[in-house]
Amino acid sequence: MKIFKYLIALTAVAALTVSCGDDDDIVGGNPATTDFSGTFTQQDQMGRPGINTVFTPTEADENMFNVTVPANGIAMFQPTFQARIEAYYNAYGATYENNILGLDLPTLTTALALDVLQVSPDAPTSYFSAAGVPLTGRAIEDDVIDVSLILLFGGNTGARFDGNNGTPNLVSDNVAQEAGTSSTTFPYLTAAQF
Amino acid sequence: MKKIALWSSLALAVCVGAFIAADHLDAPAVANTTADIADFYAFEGADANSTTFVVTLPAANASAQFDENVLIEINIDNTGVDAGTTGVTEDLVIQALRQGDKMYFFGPYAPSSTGLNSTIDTNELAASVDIGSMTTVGGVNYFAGLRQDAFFFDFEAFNNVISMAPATGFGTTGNNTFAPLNVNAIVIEVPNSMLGTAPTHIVDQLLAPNGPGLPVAYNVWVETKRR
Repeated sequence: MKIFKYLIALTAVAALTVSCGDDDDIVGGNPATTDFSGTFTQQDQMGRPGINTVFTPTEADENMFNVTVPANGIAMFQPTFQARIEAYYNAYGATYENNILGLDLPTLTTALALDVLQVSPDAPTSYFSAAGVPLTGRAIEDDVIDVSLILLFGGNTGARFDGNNGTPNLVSDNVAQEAGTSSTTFPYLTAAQF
Repeated sequence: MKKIALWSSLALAVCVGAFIAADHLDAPAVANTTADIADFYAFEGADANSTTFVVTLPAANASAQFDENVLIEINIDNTGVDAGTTGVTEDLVIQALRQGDKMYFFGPYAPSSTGLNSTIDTNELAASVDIGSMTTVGGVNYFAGLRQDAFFFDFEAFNNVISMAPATGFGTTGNNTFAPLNVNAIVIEVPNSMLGTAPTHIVDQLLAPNGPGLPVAYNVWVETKRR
């Protein structure tokens, strides 16, 4: 499918008003002490799953990644990400080959370094699957770990390191979603269980 | 030996923070704080004309609460790659901040400034919801509260694979590290009409003119910001 060949990437309504003043009954007896003032400074950020923790090599880089605006992501981190993946392959005495999407390493890591998630308003959501249109969002049920592993270690068939022919299995953790942890109706996640 | 040594050093750097809950146990500056994002989802839910955003933060026990000084900000780019760059900048934000027993939601609206620092425009208050409850205001569904962690990943096996590499790899059966875990979650289902017109998919933008022709798509990400 052509589409896979080119793909980058794993890749109001003011009905309520809040009184900050003397109204001590903002709906249901809630305390009046709401405070929305001040400047909030960035601590953490996330677009796609697993990017920062997998591809940034040092704690200093991880910290920096979390405070790098997406406008600068590729410039700041693409070379680092590429070196990281090359190092992974070195451990196996192998070199990266274009993945199932046909992406070479610079292209893949360019996509990864711009850590924003694409979500399409016009298509059913699929992080990546053979059946759906990929890169249209991230659903709760999507096996983003296996997808990530396949794109990194699967080679052009998706099965390069699959545990067969003397290779280690690096393309699936063989874990499925826990039954009952999501639902098809809002809010889509199920009640906590402590 | 050299390769093994290299891998071991990589493993040391990775194994503590790798992959966990997609973003759990994050960078040291944020790990184990109330600003640590666990996961972020964006998808078409039950209403095909809306987009659903889910943000989760680790919740170690039933008493875990959203921090009243940590803003959760969903960023939406609806204009695509910035001219002359390879990146994107938020055009709209949806902000959530807990105060007392409620989560307050603002937007979507165009922020007065972009980037690492944010303020809340209280004129943009859209709704509030009791923690643990859901509500619908103006066609938008809102939820905030404790939920099960739906993420699934054999994190221990992953650590073993990388720490022993070259390793035998993952086994034929895995164990979901996140099966017993819970999170604090906000869930917002927003009509697409409030998010603007989606731009050309960023893959098509970056690979132009040789892109694959993917559906138009917003570029979205979540940030936590502390005052």
